[in-house]
Amino acid sequence: MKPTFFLATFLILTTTLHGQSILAGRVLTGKTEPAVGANLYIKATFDGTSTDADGQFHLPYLPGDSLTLVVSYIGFQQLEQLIPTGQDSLWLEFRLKPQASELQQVVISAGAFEASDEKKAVLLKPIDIVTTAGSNGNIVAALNTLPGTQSNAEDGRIFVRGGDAHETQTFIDGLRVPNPYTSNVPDLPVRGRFSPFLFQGTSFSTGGYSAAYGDALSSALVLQTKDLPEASVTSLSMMTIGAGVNHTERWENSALSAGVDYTNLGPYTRLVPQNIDWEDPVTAHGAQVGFRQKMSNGALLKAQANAQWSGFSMRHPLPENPTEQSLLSLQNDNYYGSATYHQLIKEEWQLDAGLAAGYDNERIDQHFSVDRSNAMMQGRAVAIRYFENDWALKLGTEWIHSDFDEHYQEAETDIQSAFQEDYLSAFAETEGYLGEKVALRAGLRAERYNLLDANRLSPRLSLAYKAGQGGQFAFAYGHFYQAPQQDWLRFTQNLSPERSDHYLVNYQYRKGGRTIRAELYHKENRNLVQFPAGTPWLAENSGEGYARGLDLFYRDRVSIPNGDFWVSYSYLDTERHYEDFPVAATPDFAAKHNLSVVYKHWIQELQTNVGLTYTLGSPRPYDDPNTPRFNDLRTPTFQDLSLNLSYLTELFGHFTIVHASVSNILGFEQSFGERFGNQPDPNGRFTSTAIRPPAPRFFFVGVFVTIGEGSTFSN
Amino acid sequence: MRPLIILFSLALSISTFAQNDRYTAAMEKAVGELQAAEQTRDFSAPANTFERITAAAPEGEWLPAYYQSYCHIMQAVGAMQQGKLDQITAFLEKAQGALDKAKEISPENPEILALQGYIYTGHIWADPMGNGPMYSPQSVAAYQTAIEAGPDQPRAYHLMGMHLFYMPAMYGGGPERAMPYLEKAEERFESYEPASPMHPAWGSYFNQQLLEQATAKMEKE
Repeated sequence: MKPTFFLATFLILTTTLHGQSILAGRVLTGKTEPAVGANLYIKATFDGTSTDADGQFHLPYLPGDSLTLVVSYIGFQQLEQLIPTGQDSLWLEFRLKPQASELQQVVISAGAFEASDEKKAVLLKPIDIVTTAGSNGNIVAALNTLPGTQSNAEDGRIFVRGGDAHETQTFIDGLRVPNPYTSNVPDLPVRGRFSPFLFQGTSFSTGGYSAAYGDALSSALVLQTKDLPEASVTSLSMMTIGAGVNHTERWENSALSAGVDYTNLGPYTRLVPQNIDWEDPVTAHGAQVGFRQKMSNGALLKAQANAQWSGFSMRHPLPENPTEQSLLSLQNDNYYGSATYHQLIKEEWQLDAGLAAGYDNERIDQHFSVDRSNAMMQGRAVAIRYFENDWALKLGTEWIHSDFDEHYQEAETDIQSAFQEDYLSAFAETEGYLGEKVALRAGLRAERYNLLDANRLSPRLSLAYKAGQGGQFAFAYGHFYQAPQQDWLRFTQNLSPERSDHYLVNYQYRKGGRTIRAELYHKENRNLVQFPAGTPWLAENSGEGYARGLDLFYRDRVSIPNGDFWVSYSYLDTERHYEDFPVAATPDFAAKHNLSVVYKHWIQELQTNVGLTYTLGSPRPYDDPNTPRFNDLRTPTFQDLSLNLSYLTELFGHFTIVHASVSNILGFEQSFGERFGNQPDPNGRFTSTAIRPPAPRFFFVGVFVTIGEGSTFSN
Repeated sequence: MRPLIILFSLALSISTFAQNDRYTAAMEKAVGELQAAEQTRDFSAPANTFERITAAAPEGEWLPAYYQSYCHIMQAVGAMQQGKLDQITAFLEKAQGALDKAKEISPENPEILALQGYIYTGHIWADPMGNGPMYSPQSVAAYQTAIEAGPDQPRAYHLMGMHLFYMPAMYGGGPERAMPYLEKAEERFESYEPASPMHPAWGSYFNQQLLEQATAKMEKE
């Protein structure tokens, strides 16, 4: 950014003393705030002075050739001022501008929650995710305490602003993750597949996001894996539900890590009362490898691969026959690997390229059987050009190929469905500043849906306006497209992408450890998949809907010593006329009011972090097919209070965390309505089963030992 | 022809001599300011003076940038002691900028490498929970590199001892682990002779204080 300054050319009466002239004046930060102790000096000499308590300075100099005066002050951009020859004495006034890295900078904030340790202006750091009560190390659960999300505890996935769960896409290092959640059957909550410890940054966008991300109707969760680890380390975890070990070896410019983990809910489910009649409780094996290489040209290569094998079986009543338990089993194999390359060229260009491949296979058996597999391959390349005036231009392209294959069998029915999807996109986006107070990001994304034979162009725009110290207004607008979910594509591919238009207005105020955010939004959905003929085989893109609401967020890390809390509230008004809805109605995953209160307290004497999370979700609608009206029943209000304790200590001289957590400590009655059968019984009535959490409470105790950092201290 | 060259080179050497003279004078004055600041604990004046000298120093002189960095670190210490945690990072970033210049001039210098560790340690003060896991291994590695580069130099031992003394035992710190480093620093401070009156000589007083505190703490336990 070009330094701006005000050179007030008041020529003072010539005070030539011993052939010397005087440079005098003052240095300000902002309009009137004096810069105390700012450094002023004449370039290429040792002569200079510092400003006094009023920001004033007085610098005698020998007039002769022209000279350059340098003004330097911590936290502000350095200024240089040419003093022409022939001047006797000058009065100068300088106004300094904050350095770009300082908090006061206006940033694109509409819709985005950054949780990264790279930027200082963060709302949630990775450690905040881990220490959030109720999260149990699940990134998704921690993000569900942020505004804009609707709690669906029986599902576990992220639902954003009236959007269904699949409308939120997860990206790791820019690459889309096809199966970000663990595999499960309906009404059993899933978890995020990836450990929060893998990531150095999280950006959770609840709308109006960058043109760099697409094929997501509601939300983008952008995760960034860690760069080179700091040191070689071995970590061990022993938990009530399993164990794991991981080793990272760090060399000068590279690092390799490998780990395995094992989960078995068997002993736990026998000890703690369950709502579910388990036959084989959940067991899972996992393996991970990771590699990092810093190249001689400064580039960073990251590669990682994960494999997970999980399964369970339980006795589960069918809605059609609630009194009889039938055996339900699920087996899942999941593989995902990616490699990314990141390079900076002379601080002018940034290149990012990535490749990923994944395979997921799920087998469910009850009175029917499903064998479903999903293979995915993708490539992505992004180039960013940074200009000297703080503007950046981002250009990128990506290609995602997915291969869906499903075999469904039930009595006489035998359905095989398969399709291949190729999604191609290219985007251009520019980001920068218009003057001191306005930040702008404008982008355009072109998408090609090969399977649907559709091309789409979506504009994206964000603006932020700085309003006073720490405050800013922001606005965002954009078109977002997404292919219909695979559940419908397997019936018919004669569909087009669904569309959502986002409008967001946001105010944010941040000062000294306190943050207030308020965001108003309106979303217009069209071309949603609908079944006007009553069957998904004849689906059309005639559905539509809207969502509007208000999200509030307050975070305070300073008011309570050693305490830290945030409060999120979301108001949501949404209706959709889509899928098999006979009329426009609020979907069963959308609650009007959602509230989360997260509190954390560090007790120094006990070396313990205590966390409490309270969640409230207002009743959600669901349909009883026995009544003529659609979605006329309401689930009870959902409430939960979770507690966690993390005790930091030493075990055999190694850094150790003992972690314990309990959900629903107050014993709230939690239930999520009923699931009705597809067919009426002989009396013409639809019977149902109640949807309840798998257990009234969840207890967790784990010991995590870190070996290695201590060895660096040995003499 | 020849006399002209002689005359020319003579003029050049005189001007170089004059510049070096001015540099020496400026450094002497600045080191004086620094010594005064060690008493008043206000390092803003020497920080500014060294910044000016760094900007105009003759080629190959690493001391002005080194001292400028040191003064900014001391300003960060002051901010930490006054509880102004939000200012620490700005001072340390400025300190890092100056130290990077010093490193370019003198890459394997143990004094500069030790100061690098000090900057990493400083980042932990701003946010112990958030920054500790990342910066603690970095600062320890920097002190070790400094010790390897200059085993007779006291300040890397002193700073490593300080880092470990303030680090909680469960992370691998504590007085027992700090003690060997503080003792080695003590031995070296006694025998250490700075290369010139302008070369670094700080740290021995604080090292003694830390030794006493560490001894007292260990006796208590």
